[in-house]
Amino acid sequence: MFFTLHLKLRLISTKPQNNLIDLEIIEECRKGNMHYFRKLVEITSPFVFSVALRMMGDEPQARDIAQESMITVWKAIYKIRSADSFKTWLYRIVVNKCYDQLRKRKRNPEVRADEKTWVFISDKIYEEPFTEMENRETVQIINLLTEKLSPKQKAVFVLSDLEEMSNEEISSITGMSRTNVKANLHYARKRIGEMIEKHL
Amino acid sequence: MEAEDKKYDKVVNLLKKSKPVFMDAGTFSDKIIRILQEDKSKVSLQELIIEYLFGWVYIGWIRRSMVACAMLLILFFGYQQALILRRINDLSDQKVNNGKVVMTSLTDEFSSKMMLYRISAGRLPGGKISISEKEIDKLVKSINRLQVKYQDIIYLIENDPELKKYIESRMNEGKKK
Repeated sequence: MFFTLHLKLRLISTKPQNNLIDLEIIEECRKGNMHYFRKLVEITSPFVFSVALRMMGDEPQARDIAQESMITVWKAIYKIRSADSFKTWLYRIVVNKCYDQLRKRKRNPEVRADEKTWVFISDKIYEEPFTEMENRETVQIINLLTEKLSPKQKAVFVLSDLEEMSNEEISSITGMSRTNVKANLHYARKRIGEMIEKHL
Repeated sequence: MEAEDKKYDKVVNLLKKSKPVFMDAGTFSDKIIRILQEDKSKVSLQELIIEYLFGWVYIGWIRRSMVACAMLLILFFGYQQALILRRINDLSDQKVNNGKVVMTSLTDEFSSKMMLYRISAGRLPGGKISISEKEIDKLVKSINRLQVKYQDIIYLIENDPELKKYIESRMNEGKKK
């Protein structure tokens, strides 16, 4: 009885999306239960996609990364010893896949500078009442703000300022030391701040 | 500086508020499940064959038994090797007479030749034994040493009447037999 209750306990976290990951689902996935894996995909894919899209700034690529990440999760979920580490592990998979793609892209950088986007941002921040932006618009802004950042700085900025994660969590996801995370975040904020100051 | 921070916060808040929307989540999960099932069916035949041929090795008690058997075989092999080595050493110390040729493991060439001559009892003619000068010197020295020892023994016997008496009695007993 206690064991069943224990299994049904939800993970404790400050992030609302993490509360949705059930210990039972992870346990069943570890046993190879595809029905539960489908559930896990349905629960986790929105935030996997969110991180991938914010990191990559490209919707089809973000979908591909989300898909690859979920397949990797299925293949390696047996490695997960406790459900508590699942979220960090999942983020690590996504961020690493994004890194790989960003490194490839670095060799062939795309030029995205666009004055119209700055005008759009300027209008949007003072908009009353606020209306949510489309993915395309969000991506456009992120790309504009982060185009001069390295993949590491971009990852730290997305995870810290957009996904609202603590430095400790970012450190365990990216494998960077906490000091490194702080330094990268400081640099990223500085660069973005300078751009905002220049254009807005 | 404050104004700059405010603008930064506003832009970041704008991005935070606009969470990316994941469309077609259902189709997405269907696609993933389909890919995984395809992967599974692709390797299934190969896996089945391997499973059929070698699947039994994953059965716990068979694995443990095989490990035990392997250990026993290694021990048996070691024992056999030790036994063979011991037998080889024993054999090399033995003389083998196959009629005309006598083999020994004596290392001293001269003594082995002498031994051959003695044990073959005429089968090996003496003329066939060649002896070097050095070996003759060695033989002479050995005879001299024996002679000295013999004289010492005689001297001891002569000086000890009890010993002389005892030896004489023993020798007489031997003659009677």
